[in-house]
Amino acid sequence: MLKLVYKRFIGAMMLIVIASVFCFLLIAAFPGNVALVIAEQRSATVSIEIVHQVEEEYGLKDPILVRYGRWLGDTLRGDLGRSLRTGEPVGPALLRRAAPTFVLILAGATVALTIGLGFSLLGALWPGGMVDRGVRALALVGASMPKFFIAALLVYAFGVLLKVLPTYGFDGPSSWILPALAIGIVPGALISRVTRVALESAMSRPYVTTALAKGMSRGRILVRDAVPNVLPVVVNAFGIHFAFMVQAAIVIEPIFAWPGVASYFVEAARFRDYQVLQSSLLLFSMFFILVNFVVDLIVLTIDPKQRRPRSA
Amino acid sequence: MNTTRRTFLISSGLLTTALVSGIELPAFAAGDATTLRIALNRQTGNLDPTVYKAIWAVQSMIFEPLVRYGQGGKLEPALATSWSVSEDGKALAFKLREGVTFSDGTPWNAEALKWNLDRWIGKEDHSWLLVSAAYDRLQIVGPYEVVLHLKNPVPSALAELTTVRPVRFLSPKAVAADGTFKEAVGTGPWKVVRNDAERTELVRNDGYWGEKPAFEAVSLVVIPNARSRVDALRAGQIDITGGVFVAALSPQDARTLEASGLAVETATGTDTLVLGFNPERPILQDPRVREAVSLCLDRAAICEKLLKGFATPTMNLFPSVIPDSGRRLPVPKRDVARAKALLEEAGWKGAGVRSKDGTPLKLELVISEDAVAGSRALGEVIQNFVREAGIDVDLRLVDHVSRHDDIPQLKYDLALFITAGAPYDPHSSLTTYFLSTYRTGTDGKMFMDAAKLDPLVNAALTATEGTRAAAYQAFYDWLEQNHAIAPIYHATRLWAHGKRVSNFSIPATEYEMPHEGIKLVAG
Repeated sequence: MLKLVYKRFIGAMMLIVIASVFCFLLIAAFPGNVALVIAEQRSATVSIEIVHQVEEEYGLKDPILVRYGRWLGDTLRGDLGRSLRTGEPVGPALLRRAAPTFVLILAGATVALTIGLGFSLLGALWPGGMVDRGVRALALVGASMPKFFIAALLVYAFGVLLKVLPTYGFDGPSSWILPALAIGIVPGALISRVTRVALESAMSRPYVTTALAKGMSRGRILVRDAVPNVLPVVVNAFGIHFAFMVQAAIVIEPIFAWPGVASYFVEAARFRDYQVLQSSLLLFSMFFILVNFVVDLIVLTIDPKQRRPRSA
Repeated sequence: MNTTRRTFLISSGLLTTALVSGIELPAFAAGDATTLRIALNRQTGNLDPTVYKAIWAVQSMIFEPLVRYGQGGKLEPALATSWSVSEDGKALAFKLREGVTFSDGTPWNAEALKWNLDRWIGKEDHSWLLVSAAYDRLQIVGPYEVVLHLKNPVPSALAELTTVRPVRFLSPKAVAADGTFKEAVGTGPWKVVRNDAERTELVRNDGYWGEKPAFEAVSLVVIPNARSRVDALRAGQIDITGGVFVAALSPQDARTLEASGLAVETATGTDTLVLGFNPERPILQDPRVREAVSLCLDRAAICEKLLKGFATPTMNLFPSVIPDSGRRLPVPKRDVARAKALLEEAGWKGAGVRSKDGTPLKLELVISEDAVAGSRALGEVIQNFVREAGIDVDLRLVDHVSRHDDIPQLKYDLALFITAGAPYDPHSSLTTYFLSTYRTGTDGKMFMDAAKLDPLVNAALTATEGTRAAAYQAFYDWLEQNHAIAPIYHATRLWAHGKRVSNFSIPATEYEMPHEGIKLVAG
């Protein structure tokens, strides 16, 4: 068991190193001269001399390997540099902006999990019935809608028409509801489909027939026997969607004007603020890898089959 | 193992319940009558008036100039009560307003003025302002009287001194011991109490020398998404949105807001959208080709359909609200037959895409949505307009940075430009977009002709009061006769506000925030 954890950990670490190379190269290889963006903040109309001066100062003309080495060294020492656009240090800004993104993803995950488990359990309790079919249709609609569209519908309904919820900002729990729904509905619908199918196959296994024959109720079998058996599937599906919520946050945060890491990333991308881009991209990659690592650990814990040594 | 599984199930269930029940619904607050809420499209940023970072309009609520740019370019007193320009144009004398203090209590006087000028005037980074490039020395005549001496006359000096940065005045006590900016303290009607990624909050400066605002605070909230700003206004969660550099309102959104019963305020634009020709491309050196392109454009349709009526078709470089903007030119109707005839005459022949000596009539139009909002749709329209005359235009979409890399290096055939607008024009666009000896790092050229156009530009820029209008007219005439540029429209300035706001008026420039005179009611 410990050896397995150790192996997964080493794998995750290697992925992070590879990700760091890509984070740096992708941003550094963008077309266009970053020096111009920096120079634009010094003077309203920039002369070529100022641009050259900026290139000197920031070492933008050095070979790419030298720049990667410098960036990696600084990052490992905890110095993420300064934003080119706002001039503030990137490290503290990322930390401050982590809270809204964290809340968004957690609240979104709660919505996703509630919808995912709730819908699939309801369906499995009365298979083929009205509830099952209704829930299935809802899940299909939910999974087919783009998140920005869901967000627009929610804002229109609860903000513009009913005027009961704030349409923007990160000011306490009432402002979390719409973003959490916007980010959680699609993964929730998808998780409910995956879980429902897995439950269906679990419920047609011989041990269920035996249990039914012994006179146990369908609900009891579902919760006590079927759910634990499909749990690895649910955890895996949830893990993937949870990790992808960072990506969804890039769409959702600007819509609700949340000052999170994802909207920081979007602003930085527009202004080619490469210090911010590289650091936040690295952070996203690390989050993604970390979530996958944790999901692997959870599955190892709840699924005994995974722990058996793989012998050919 | 059973225990672990069960524990996991139960604990995750409990966690979910806890999280869900933790979200309660507090009563949602409507705006109170003491705070005006305005949307920003991005974080205000560093408010230091000598740094080119913050949103201008926010800085303009805090910091004041010596002279203000009023409607139509009329100069009005601000921190200077009167001013005069010497006969030779090389000395500007100012009488400073007495009894004014910065909001931290520091007195406003010649000393404070000198301290501020020392931070920028005559320095390389700010030499794009002609008054800075020509700066000689400051003479302090008395505590409230100064004379600014220049090495050569700068007719646009006073207009330049109305701008936001770097010319506005910061309290000399608002910096650290080493001179670095610490806090935004000005003489203006508002004081900063919060400035971060979410919002900038201002409270009324009760010691303000001028007319005090009718409400106590302004909350500038950052909403990057245009759609979300429109929704927030409709939901009554903000009061004002709009302004090109504050939180631009698209013509479509303005019509949506109008339809939902909100007030959309308009004013004649101070800038012009221009289709520029790269003068170094052999194909475009023939004025007949340039005229043909211009004749293919249906300016009225562009304004009506693409800009939903929120634009005025034009053939002028500047709208009439800009001083010395010249004689108004008639806007021609789209004339493809005449365009075709011109191209034939110039030797471009053949069906489909025309060609001359085996070279097809292909041009590349560089489009950057970041630089000119809505330019992608406009580019597609232009592409279709000119195709009818046998000109093949390729659109190349680039981002902000790539545009700023390509345009100054003249890596384009056609490009869309927007003139600088008030208070910078007419002098600023002439220097930036037409003078071949002035090469900037970012803006590129609408047209250039070192031999014929440069002398006209220089004559206009240095002309004194009496001869200025004629000198500018000579420059405009040359552009017109040579079909050097294809101006398309003056975009209407757009702002929208909710029902809580009354007595709204659009300021003279896009660099100011509408707040003066506004009255608020609770709602």
